Amino acid sequence: MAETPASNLDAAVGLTAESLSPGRLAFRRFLTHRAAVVSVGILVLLILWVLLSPLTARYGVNEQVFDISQGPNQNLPPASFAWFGTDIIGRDVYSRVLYGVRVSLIIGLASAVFSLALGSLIGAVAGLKGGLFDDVVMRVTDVFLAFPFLVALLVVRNMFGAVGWVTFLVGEPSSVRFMVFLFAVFGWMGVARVLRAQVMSLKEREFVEAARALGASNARIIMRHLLPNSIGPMLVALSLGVVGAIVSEATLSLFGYGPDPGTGATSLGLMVAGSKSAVRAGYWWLALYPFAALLVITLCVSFIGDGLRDAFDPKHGGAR
Amino acid sequence: MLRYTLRRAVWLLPTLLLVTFLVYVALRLGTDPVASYRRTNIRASKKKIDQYIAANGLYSGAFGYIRGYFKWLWGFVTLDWPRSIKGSREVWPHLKDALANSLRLGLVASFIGILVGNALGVLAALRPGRLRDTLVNSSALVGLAVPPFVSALLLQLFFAVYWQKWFGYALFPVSGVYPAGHQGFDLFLMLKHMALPVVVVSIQSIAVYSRYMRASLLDVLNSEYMRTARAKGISERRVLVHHALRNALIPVTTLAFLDVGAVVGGLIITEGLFEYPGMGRFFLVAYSNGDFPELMPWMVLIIGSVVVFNLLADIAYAKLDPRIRLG
Amino acid sequence: MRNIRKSTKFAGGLLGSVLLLAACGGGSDSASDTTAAGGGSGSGESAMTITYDIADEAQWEDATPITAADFQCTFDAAMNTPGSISTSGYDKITSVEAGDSDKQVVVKFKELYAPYKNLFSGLLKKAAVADCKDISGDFGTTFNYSGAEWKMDSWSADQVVFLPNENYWGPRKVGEGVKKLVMVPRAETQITDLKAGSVDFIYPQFYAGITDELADPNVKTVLNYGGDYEALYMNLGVDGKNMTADGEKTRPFADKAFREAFYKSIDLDALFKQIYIPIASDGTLLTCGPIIPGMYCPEGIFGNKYDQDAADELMEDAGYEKNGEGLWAKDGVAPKIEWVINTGNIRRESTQAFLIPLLKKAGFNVVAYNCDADCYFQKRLPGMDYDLAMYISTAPPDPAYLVGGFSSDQVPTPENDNKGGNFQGWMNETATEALKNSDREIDEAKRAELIKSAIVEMDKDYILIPLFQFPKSGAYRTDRVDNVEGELNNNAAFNDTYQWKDLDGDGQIVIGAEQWPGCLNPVTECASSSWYLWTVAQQLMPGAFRTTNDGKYVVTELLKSDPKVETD
Repeated sequence: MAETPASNLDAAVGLTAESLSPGRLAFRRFLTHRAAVVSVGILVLLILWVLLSPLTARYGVNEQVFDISQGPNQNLPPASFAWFGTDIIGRDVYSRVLYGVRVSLIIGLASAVFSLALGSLIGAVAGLKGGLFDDVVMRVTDVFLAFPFLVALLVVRNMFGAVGWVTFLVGEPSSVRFMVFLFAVFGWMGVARVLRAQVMSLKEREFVEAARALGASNARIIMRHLLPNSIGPMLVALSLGVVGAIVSEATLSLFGYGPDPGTGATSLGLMVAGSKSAVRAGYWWLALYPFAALLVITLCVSFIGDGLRDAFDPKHGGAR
Repeated sequence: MLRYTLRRAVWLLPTLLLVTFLVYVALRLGTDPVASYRRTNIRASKKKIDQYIAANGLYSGAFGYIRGYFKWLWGFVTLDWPRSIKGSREVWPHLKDALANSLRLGLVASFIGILVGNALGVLAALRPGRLRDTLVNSSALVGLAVPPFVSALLLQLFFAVYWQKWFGYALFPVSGVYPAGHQGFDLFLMLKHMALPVVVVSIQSIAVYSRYMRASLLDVLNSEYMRTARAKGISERRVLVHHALRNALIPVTTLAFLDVGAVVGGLIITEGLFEYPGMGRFFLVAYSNGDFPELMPWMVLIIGSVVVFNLLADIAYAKLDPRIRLG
Repeated sequence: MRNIRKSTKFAGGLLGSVLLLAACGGGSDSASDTTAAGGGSGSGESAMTITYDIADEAQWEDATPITAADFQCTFDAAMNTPGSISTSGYDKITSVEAGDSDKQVVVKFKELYAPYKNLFSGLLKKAAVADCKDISGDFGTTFNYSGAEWKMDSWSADQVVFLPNENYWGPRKVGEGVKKLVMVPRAETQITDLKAGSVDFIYPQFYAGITDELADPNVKTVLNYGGDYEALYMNLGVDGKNMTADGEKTRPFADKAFREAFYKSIDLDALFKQIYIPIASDGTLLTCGPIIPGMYCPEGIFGNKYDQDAADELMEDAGYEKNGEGLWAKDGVAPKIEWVINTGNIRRESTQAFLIPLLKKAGFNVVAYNCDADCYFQKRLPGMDYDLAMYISTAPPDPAYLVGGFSSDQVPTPENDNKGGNFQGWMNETATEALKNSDREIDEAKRAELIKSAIVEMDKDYILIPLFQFPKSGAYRTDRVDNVEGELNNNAAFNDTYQWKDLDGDGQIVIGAEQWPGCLNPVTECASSSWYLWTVAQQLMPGAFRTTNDGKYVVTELLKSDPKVETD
């Protein structure tokens, strides 16, 4: 049963057993992970829906569904003119969820990519060099890893926010750019650890020793041999990073340190965090739709991460 | 083993010094303690400000940071702690209460998380791919994706607001350590007040541990040497208990050590949502006041705990896992 | 947790100072009045003398009498304690001495001081502190005395417990059956706690939707209009520029035509309907200026002046023309208007989200320039680092706070050590003259005219846009407490706890506090929040005058009669 969709697809793209490289093998295994495949489908649809927001959104991010002179427009329940209801100043929740998804996805993906890059570099170099350098880097990583995330974010946010050239480079502390920067600075440790372990085990293997014997430099070994062989764990780390950044952004928003709503920007985290009193007051639509969108994104990304891990490391998965 | 422990322990002090120094610099840059003091004590004379600077070692200039750090360090280890900038209060009594409250909450929540999480993880790993596994795994993912403030809000609405509406009393309180007006120690009331925050934290840690345990156990179960054990005809039950679980617990133990080490930092979000006066609240208030004399001891406690428990985790890992090469 | 940041700017520097110190006014907490010396007469002579006769039976919690020495101590502490938040009023005093007996206090002023009723509104007990000239080290763990109906039993980060003061002599004795008054910090959970029955009373800052949140058969919400008002303030800069040396930025609101056109481009009625009607459906647009309706409120000024054509004409006359983006520009530059609010305040964020697109359409390049409450109220405002600001002021009934907030010598400049509460940089000689004189005018009616004339100047100069007299609100459980509605509109909020009734028979009244004072000292920063006044000071400290629910001052049981005021 589990085999059917995968084999159909194989036939469709003309794959045969003989031509399977490790990557293709992993791809095939990924396709057997139903939850992950469905998640990819949902995410792709969602991204398309958001990319096409000029067509799919019904109102602007700060546009009211109708003017206050035509009657009260605040906190209206779902209706034909506003599918997900309206918010505290009469804006369309459906359209704002779309804009929020966009911002949250950007924050999630960008943070994950940057922390992946930073973490891989640190982990790979530490693993290759070993010795004292490795010791120091790993102790620092430990502390970064175990330090309360929010404390570190707040302190560093203030510190960098006060430094002119940092804000010049990455924007004001309430900007999306600054947030991506923060999450990257605090998101690399997991990746670094995984990659270091990977490198440690790989570097004993024949093909790396062979490359070294042929006089290849460290950089070359990292680029040509170690990174491609670590692609599996890195993809998994990427998916974890996306979820982590999206949830962190929601948490920062809860404390009023998220994107600045006064600028008209919005994110799913901001909408969920801002709906606490709305839930108590009974305006459920203000919480439900952004929260559902947040949940769908994080779950999909997690399932894809699971699928990727099983695909690259079949020991974990078992049959599905 | 002893050599390894010593080698790792040697790193303890330098790490502590280095990290506290970095935090010292970060706090001085980020909160500007002298400006905060002047903001809080606007009529303070030059003399008072100089006293404050001297007591805290807030000298200016790059060298001033180093000199100031050691000045602060000396005061800290000789227990000559400067007083808070707001209200000139002693720091330790307040910090001690916050620490006790946080430890209580954090340790109970970690205990439940580790116990239940691991049990679920084992259940899932024994039947990979079956309904049980899918159920545990998906609920864990949902648990991780739901921000704590959402679960806290729903729990509060259900157990307090609606319970009060339906039955005339609230099943669990939503705030504080004790009911208002209560003085003295009372275990039952204390546990009742901890119930909801513990659940909120446990949801997250159960999710983490169940996923971790499942992965770890699958790793072991699918490994070569388990196959050998089975092939040798050792009973499945014996294999599981004596070999698989023992080995699978190794990485989980490490994680648990790290978690317990971080408990000292308090649970900023949960403490806020339940008005629980722990380390997280202490930090937030001190931070928003820019109260340097309160922030530094707080930071040292956290860093100390994190570093020490990291060491313990590594040692435990080395002791439990015979494959580790000790150098 | 966003509630933590949902703070207002307490105009009066705040209410704590009203209690012990003079009504200092728009954040003039940092203003040491530099003009004081000029108006006074020579040393030794006095322009005004006030004699207070302390009630014979007035005594502290340990049955020792309250005497002139305690008045002296209060004066010394306010003037000399390093962290004292305000000296205004006290800095006009030359001496505080005992009169015929130690139950009589003679206070001499170097110049006339009209708002004297704000002085000595919270007395220190001399025997309770080590050194009256520096009490910054006292009150570390508890508030160790009382001259009012309650006394403090314990205080922690978790709760404050009061017991009836059995040695209290006055008419405000705690009612039968009430054994404890407890206040607990409940910033995040106050509404849930009230509905769950774990607190009896809360005093939340109002926002849209809160009445729906509070809907419950056992909860009653009371809405009153007190001394709070919200407004939009424009920053004129110092000489039209940034105050600090680092920026060359010219402040667009330095130009009066620009201010007027800006004012006339906002439809205040629409704004009001959008933002404030959901909060209080019976509310009306505030038209008084930086003050609430009453004897100091001039008629027929401010209000909605929306007139897009007039605004456009003003801008064109001032040499502006619309650029490619439809924004008003002069010499190719469309001046950026930086609008600051504290992040996390949903109402203000909504106001920005509503107004900014409309103002852009009208041609004004308004951008949000927000930061958290500490940064906003302690850095941006005092540093005059903004163009447009929106905040609530919690004003005492006496208008003396206007002097510190709007006189031209109160603009923070290097000359006055950057201290002063006029954060708008408004320099108007007519208004300053009137405000200064109002402080020295003892006649109530004449004083009101002076205040009004200064406010009329604010209207003519278009320096602020008053929006809303903000409601004060209390909510309580009708099955737990009763008789709580008496003083909810008071500047000093629930200061009548002695007459609250306990209905559920547990012998205690529990108040959930939205903010929590981190410390107890009555003259330092600790006292700068109104929640300090409500949760600590007014329950314990006796004073000369007390404010009433309708914004008047009445003499308290501490004095035999109204103090005798003599002028030369």
